[in-house]
Amino acid sequence: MATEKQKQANKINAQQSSGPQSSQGKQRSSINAESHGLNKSMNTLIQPEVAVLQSLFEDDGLPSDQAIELAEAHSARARVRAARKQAWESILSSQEMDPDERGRFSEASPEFLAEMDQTVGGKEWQTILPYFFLKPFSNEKERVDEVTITFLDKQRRLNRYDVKAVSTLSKLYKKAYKT
Amino acid sequence: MATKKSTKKAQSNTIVLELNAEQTELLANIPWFNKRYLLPGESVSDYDIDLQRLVESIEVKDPLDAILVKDIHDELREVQRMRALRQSILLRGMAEKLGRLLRAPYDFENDPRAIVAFTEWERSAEQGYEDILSLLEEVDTTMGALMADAFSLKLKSLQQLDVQLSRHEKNVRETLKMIDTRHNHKLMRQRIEFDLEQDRQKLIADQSDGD
Repeated sequence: MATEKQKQANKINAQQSSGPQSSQGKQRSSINAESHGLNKSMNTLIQPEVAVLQSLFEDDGLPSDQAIELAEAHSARARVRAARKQAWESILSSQEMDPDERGRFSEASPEFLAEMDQTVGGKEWQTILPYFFLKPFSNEKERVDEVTITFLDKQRRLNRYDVKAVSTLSKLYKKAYKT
Repeated sequence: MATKKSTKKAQSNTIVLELNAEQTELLANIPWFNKRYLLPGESVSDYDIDLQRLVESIEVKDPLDAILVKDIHDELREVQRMRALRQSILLRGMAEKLGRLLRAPYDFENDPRAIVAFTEWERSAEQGYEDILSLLEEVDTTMGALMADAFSLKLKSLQQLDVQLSRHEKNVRETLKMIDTRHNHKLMRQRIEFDLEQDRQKLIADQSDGD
């Protein structure tokens, strides 16, 4: 466990970091902010299905505190599943993996990019479309390999949420329905 | 037992199970329960037919069972997708290795005949197989050796995929346990209630005998 002093030192060091240097690193960090919302705490008031599930568990003879815990756990699991579906879809319809889109401006001249910045009104478009600046795929094999690796990486990152959702649900079932 | 009402209904936006009206209405208020986890190219009817089979084999009795069975169904479909992806990665690895073996010395590009033969084979099990065998003869290797090479070539992806596969298989087992836990509890509660009722009846009978 890190001490307070170490935590402070880590903070200062991190602030001095100039960020990723390689194009691969930049590409990876470009999806850091991609949000699946699985870390957000659930607002049960705006999720009517939680109330419905709670009533189903209450009808099953459970006290309301256990019923609401189970209802929330079911909703959490559904959110993980939705995130997994999104991961499949984002790969299947990804422009990043589209050979016609990826690397479109990888060899563009600085003058051309400056002109684009002026037309669009800033450099922001370059961060929104990072795949325009990646190295284009040299062949279909390279593209398919990249699609597979990116997909598996996305799925792997969702595993901890999946494990948490299913184990919580499992524990709650055991606790609520112990015989 | 809950069953899907008709094929026509199955094509609708909600998942239809034969529960009573009140239970169906409750389930209709759970948006994620009524969403089919389908990817582009997957068919609604296949999804519903498989769900129906599962519903029948697990004997769904109420909405809570239905929710858990749908979870299992979605996990099983994920397992199928992962298995298909695994097969495709392996075949790609085999085609890549064979293409490398077939290429002429000092040639940078793999021999395209390997990709063509494997693509044919993937489309239909019979087609392409003869071509693959003759290409294997040409480089004096066997299908087993080629598969072993493909494994080492695609090791990282295959290992990651196996982790995903076991994750989803574990989720299926855990969900089945949840169903069992709930059913056993229900059964136990019924037995206790039955015993209590018998005791009560006996007490009443004893009392009336005493009178």
